[in-house]
Amino acid sequence: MKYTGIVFLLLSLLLCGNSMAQSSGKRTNLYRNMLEDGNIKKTYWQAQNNQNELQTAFSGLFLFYKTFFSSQDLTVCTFTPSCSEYGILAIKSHGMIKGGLMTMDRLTRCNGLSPQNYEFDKKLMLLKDDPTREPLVPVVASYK
Amino acid sequence: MKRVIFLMLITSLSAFSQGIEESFLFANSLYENQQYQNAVETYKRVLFFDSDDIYGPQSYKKMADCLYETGEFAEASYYYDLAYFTHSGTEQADITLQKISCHLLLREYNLAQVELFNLPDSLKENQTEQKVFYEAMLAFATEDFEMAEELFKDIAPDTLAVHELFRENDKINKLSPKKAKILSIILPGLGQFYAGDVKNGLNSLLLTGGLLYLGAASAVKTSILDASISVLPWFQRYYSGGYNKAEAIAEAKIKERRFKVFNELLDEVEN
Repeated sequence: MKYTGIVFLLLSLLLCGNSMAQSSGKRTNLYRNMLEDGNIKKTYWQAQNNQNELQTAFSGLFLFYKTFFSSQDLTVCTFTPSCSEYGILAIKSHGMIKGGLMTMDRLTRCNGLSPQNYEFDKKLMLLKDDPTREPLVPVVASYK
Repeated sequence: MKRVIFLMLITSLSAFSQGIEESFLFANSLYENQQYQNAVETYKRVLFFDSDDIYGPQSYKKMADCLYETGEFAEASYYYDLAYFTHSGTEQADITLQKISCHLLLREYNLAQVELFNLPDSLKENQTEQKVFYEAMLAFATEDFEMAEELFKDIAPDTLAVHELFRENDKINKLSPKKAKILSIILPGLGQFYAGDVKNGLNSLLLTGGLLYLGAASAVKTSILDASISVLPWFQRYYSGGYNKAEAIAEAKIKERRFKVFNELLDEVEN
């Protein structure tokens, strides 16, 4: 009887402690992300979900460039997505030959001299040029 | 015949439609059962049809609570504002405290401070405790660490642990983003090492060092003009990028360490 009483007392104390912790925990846990966590690591969705070996290889090159070169650079590209992101997206959506040509074309256009040909992203303050979408104005002149 | 069918349809619709009072009672029952998302939708329906503003004063507080529980803090703050004028006494203080919480969670520190000034001098014991907790978090977020330390010591059971955490916090102040930038201007990568980011420090050092070597080798093999034209723009790009990144990395490190201390302080309050 004595032992049963002790066990019952211990159990009730444990339960009481848990409920107290939960009630106070709810109050503080809500504010855990009140301050910025200072995480500046970027993840690149463009290099994910590769369909074949070619895409995997180019995604590897893209990540190598982003990790060791682009990470040391300022934001100098005038477009969104940036030239390297455009390159991997173009290769993934149009194949190596057409995507490669599109990337080279894009690199020659990355100078901000013809902003009238593109939509403007007000949030990022950059010109929009996505290889998976039709451009607003044909970027290469078509002569008839 | 068409008219008869039409009339039947209309009468049947009106017979089964939910009145505004039923909607209000239903919303209240959802609120009581903690089905906050559904309660919000139902309260919105009540307020939309409540042209005489009969149910509004009774709904604002509950609706704000539901929005708060579902994480919609900006909208919750708006409805707490409306609820404030339909309540009085200690309920008003409760509503103001909830509004302060919303502003803190939205990182609107100035607005939280304004609401803290709006609180009356005489509060219940639990309200005072809550007020001190919010003041402590606000002081920490606005970097008034002296005040934050005093307030956290008031609410945490282990004041020694709080004291230790604030001494750790003092060390964070020694890390200067400006110093990191200057160090990286002197030697690329040095600012990153100073901020504790060895990987980026080595990366910057090797990249700019490699470009410097390439420029020098090119100048010896061809001419200084050729080397300047071909390598200098690249060197300038990664050199200036490096010292600006050093500053950004130091700022991020300060935020990261501050975030860690803040969470440890919350652990102390929770204990």
